This record gives sequence, structure tokens and C-alpha cells, in this order.
Amino acid sequence: MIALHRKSRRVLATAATAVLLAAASACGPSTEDGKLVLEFPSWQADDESFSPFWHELIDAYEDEHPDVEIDFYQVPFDSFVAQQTTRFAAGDPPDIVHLPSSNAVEFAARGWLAPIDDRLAGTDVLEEWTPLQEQMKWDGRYYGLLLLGYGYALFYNEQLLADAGVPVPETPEQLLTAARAVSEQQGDSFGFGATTVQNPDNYTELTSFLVGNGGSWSEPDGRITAESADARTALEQYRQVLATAPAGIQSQQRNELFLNGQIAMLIDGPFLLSEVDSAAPEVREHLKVTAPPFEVVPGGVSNSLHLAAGSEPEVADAVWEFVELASQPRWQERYTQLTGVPAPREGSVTEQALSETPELELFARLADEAVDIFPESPQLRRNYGRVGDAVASAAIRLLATDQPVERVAQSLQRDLEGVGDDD
Amino acid sequence: MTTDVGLTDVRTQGPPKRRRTRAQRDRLFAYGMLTPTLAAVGLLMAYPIYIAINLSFRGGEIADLQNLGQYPLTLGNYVDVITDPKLLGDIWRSIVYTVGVVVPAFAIGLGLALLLNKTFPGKRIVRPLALLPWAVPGVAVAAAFSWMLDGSFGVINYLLRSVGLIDANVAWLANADTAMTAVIIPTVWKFYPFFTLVLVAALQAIPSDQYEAARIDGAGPWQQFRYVTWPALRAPSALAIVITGVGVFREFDFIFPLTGGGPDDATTTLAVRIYNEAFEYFTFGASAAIGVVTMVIAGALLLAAGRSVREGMN
Repeated sequence: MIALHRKSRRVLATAATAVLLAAASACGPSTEDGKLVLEFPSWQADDESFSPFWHELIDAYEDEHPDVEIDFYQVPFDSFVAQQTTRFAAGDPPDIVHLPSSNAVEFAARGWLAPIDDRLAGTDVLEEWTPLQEQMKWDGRYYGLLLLGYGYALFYNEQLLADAGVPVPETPEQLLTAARAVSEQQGDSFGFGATTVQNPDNYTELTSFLVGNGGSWSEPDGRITAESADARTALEQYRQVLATAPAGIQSQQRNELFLNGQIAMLIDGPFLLSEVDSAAPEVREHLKVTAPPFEVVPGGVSNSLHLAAGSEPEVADAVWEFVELASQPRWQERYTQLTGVPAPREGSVTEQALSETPELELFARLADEAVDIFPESPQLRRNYGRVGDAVASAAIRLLATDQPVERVAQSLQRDLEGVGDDD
Repeated sequence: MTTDVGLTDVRTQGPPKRRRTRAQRDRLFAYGMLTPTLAAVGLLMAYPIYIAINLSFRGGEIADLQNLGQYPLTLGNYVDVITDPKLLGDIWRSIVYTVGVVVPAFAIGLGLALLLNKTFPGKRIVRPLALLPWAVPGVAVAAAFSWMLDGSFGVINYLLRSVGLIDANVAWLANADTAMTAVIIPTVWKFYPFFTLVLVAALQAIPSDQYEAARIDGAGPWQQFRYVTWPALRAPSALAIVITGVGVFREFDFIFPLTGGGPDDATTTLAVRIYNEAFEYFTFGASAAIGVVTMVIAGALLLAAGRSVREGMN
């Protein structure tokens, strides 16, 4: 071993300790070149349909606020909620909080979001917004601004239906007949497309059938209704229709098969339209969209903007100014025009947007009529993760087992009744 | 004269400084050099374990991990976790998954190690190829297998249909009867090279004269394996099985991207349950309690297995 001079040893050891301590004490600045930097993670930062809107909005905001910079960056959707959960729990939330709206109440209920009633009072949002804005409410207070609320639509391949000799369905029974007729045709065509592996999408797809039949998983007072006649009907319809769907696929594969012209029908939100436009021309000309084949239009809330609880007043004000800018009529119209889905502000669908995307008229009507698929009961809403899992498990039992519908409904009833027992 | 000056110095400067011995200086230097490592280990291992244990004893709706002290101390999380009928299922599935991975991965690894210990044409190409899966990230493996196992258009269904083993496509990842096998297969593919690596190294350490002596004594290939090869492989095999077993027991990278723990909990192991409790259900206390239970089970397995490793070495 090489012997070091005593002094050198002491310097080396002290330096090693000092480097470690310095590294441990380092922390990132919240300002850059004297500017306030607002952190804005989103799963839409690289999204083809939505990122142009965000970039335009951010540019406009930064022009109006030369002392503020927005750090807008991509976080994959699959890990988005988990990452945000970790950050909030660790006391390091982002400044501009963008969330899938189905998770917003869970975050609000844990005290992670700031109520914005006072700020909303100074705007026309509550008068001009879709009624789905109510989903941003928890315990009587608003915790966010809804950016997209929608009604589900039936996307279909006109040619596949015509080849099978069936009309575009208007009822669940017609949907089943049409799906079976297409599946019985020669070739690799499927009557219906859905997520047929366990996934959060199972919740939205199964619950669309339930809400479409006028049912829900619970009464507003929290009483679980998974064994009701409406629920059993929906479970049965879902099982039968999904028997005509490709097995073992996720929603992205489902969409690809639809765009390839191999799936005749699927039910999804208006955002699917931008993907439909990317289909090969010979398939695209046959892809159409219409109202879902249900008495009631099932709908949902997609994403929303929020303020983190406990933010510095300067940061909270700057974030609110950004949120407020997004709510302005000009930017709501621009949102509709760029994304091809109707923004939540009344009158956001302009003539120009309609001429570019005629489907907007249908989407706007469906959004107005939509009944939200997320549970009404506060207990279920604040435990949406468990509810989603329980419903997804029931969906998989319907798809992959021979369990009678009554038994599936019974176990779902039990699972949903158990949600929140540990709170 | 020298003595006088020394005495004068002592008188004017007070009591003599206690000088450190060389051994003490070396020890101090060693601790100084170890400080960064000890601090890093403390930060990266001990602190998270402390937080997990602390969290597991906290009640209420935990929303602020920075200030755990504000939540009451309780045994409630452990009571909930231990009395939850799902826990036994999670443990059972973790064991099935671990055994289901380790046994075939060891068998493949051993077979391949024996093959790679021989000389044959193309060995230089086969050897790195056989070990390649070890270098591929788990999530990438899961992504590749999710396409291969696709229920409608996966290549595995295509191959099985081509050779007449199945008539209709099987939804490997969506069916509760096949999902566990479907997550075990990619995990085996990822882990067998570790066994190969360890066992090839052990095989190369066996002196060739032992085989020569066995042959002179009339031992056939099976007897050579049983009485020469296997005794030399027993200790490294046990060690590799323990390391892999503990790793697989808490494996998450393959199961979550492939099935998310489904269908209908068919692949929900302890690791998946921990994730779901924390990030799907926001019940951090229960998640930490399951984490501690997992740690205890893995520790017990490690202790038990460690004994067999020592016996193997003896």
C-alpha cells in the first residue's frame, strides 16, 4: 500500500466528507435569471393533439408575464399519477398541477390541492362552464378547473357494418346484433373493440354500459347498487358484446386495430378523432362517429388544472393567472380548434372550428347531455383507485370466466361496499 | 543541552500533548475515508428502512411523508394487513412466482453452463448470446413479451397454432389460469443467465484431474456429474438460488407492466400489492406494513437459505 503523507491524508478525508455534505445540502433554485420558474409536468407535453395548444398558451402567458417562465415537460401517462402522488406526499408538488380528473378528488381529499372558490368567484367560469365542472368539487369546495368534459361516442367502420348487412346501432341490443354479425364474417374482423386485459380502462368501458342503461354503482348517499337490475343488465350486455372483441388487448392495440379496419365499432371519447385522422385513406373514408347506442349518454371528465396547497402566495397567484388565461374565451376556442374536442366553456365551438372538424357539433351535444361515469358517492370518489380496481376485476371475471352475472354482481357489490373501510 | 531546552519547553508550554499512536492515526484515517460510504449507505439504505418502519406504525390518512410525527402511532396497519384475507393469497402467489422462476431458471442455467464448459464450434458466439438476457432491462423484457404473448396477434399464439398445439388463440395475460405462467416465462428468460455465469465460473474451477481420476475408476458421465461436478457446484448453486430467489420474491418489473397484478388478482404478489396500496389507493401506512412483512419473510428465507449455503460450503 502506498503511504500517504499525514497532511495529505487529513486533507483527503476532510475533502471527501465535505463533498458529501455539500452534495447532501444542495437544493434546486426556484428562480432562474431573476425569473420565477413554474414547474408544469404533464402527460400531454409531447402529445400530438394537445401539446400545440399548451405551447401556444404558455408562449402567450410568458409574453404577458416576462418575469415568469413555465417549465413544461413530459411525464408518461402510465406513471403520471404515481409520480405526482410521490411528489405530493413528499411535500414537493409541482407548481402548475395537471391531473387526470378522475384522480383530482383523491388528491383534494388528502389536502394536497388548494380550494379555488374565491378565485373562481372573480371569473365567469361557474356560469359558462359545462356542468361536469361539478366533478371538481370536494366537500362543498372547488379544487380545480376542468379542461375537458365529454360524452362518449360510437366510432364505427361503415364498410364492415355494411358488409355484415347491419345498420349503425342505436340500442344496446342492436349493438350486440351488429357486433355478432361482423364477427361471423370471414377474415380477421371483430365486431367490437374494447380493453380485454385488466386495466383502468375496464372501469370506463364497463361503466359506460351501466350509465348508458341509466344505472350507477351507487346512490348519491353511498348505498352500493351493483346488484340492481340496471347493473345486472349492463354486466350481461358488456359480457356479450365483448365476446366479439379481440382477446387480451389494451386500448392502444384496440385503437390500432380499428384504424387498420379490423374492428367495426368501439365506444370512446372525442379525443379518438385525432387518431382516426391518421388512418390510411382507404380505411379513413369508412370510419364514422355517432351518438352511443344508449338511452343515456355516458360521459366523463378527462383532465383539469389545479393549485397545490401550501404554495407560496407569489407562486399561487402566478399559477392562477395561468389557469385563468386558459379559461378565457379566446383560449377555449383555440383549444377546441387545435385539439378537435369541445372545450368546456359554453360557445367554444366556433364556425371556423366546425368547418375544420364537423364532428364537433356531435361532440358538443354529447358533452352537454353526458352523465358522468365516475361515482357520485363521496366515499367512492375519494377512493377511486379501489373502486376502479374492483370494477376492473369484475370486468375481467365477465370476460375470462364463466361465472354467472349474478355472482359477479354479488362479489362486486361486496367489494364496493368494502371500499373505504380502512379509512 | 538538548535535555535542558526540552525541559524549558515543557515548563513554558504546559502539560505535554497526548500524541496519537500510528495505529490510532491509521484508524482515524480509515474512518475518515469510510465516512462518505457510511453516510451514503446510511442515506440510501438505513434511512429508507427507518422511514418504512416508522410509516408502517402511523395511523390516519397519511398525506405528508415529511412530517410523519403528526400521525398517531398505531398497530392498526399491521392488524389490517395481517387479518386481510388477501395477504395469504399475495404470499402464496409470491412463493409460486419465485419457485416458478427459480427452478426452471436454475435448470436452464445449469444445462447451459455444462454446455458452455465444453469446447464446440461457435462457442465464442453462443456464449455472449446465451448471457445477453441478463443485460436487458426488466421493463424492456416485459414490453417485448407483452407483444409476444398478445392474445390476438402474438407470435406465441401463432407458433402454437402452427404446430397444432392450440386450436384458438389464448389470451395469456388476460386469463387467470394462464397469467401466472405468462409472467413467469419472461422472468425465467431474464434470470437464467445469472445461474449460467455463476456455474460456469464454478465449473472452470474444478481441476480436470478429478474427472480423469473418476474415469480411471470407471465412472460414467452421470457418475462424474454426481460425484465430481455437483459437489463443486452445490455451494455456488445454493448462493445463486438464494440471491435470485430473494430478488424474484420482491420482483415488480415484469408483473406490473405485463398484467398490473391482474386478471382478478391472479398475479398480485406482495410487491404489486405494496405498489397498489401506496400509489393506487393512497394507503401509505398499509403499504409500508406490507413492505415490512415482505422484508421479514425475505429475511427469514435468507437466513434459512444461508444455512444451506454454509452446509454446502462445508
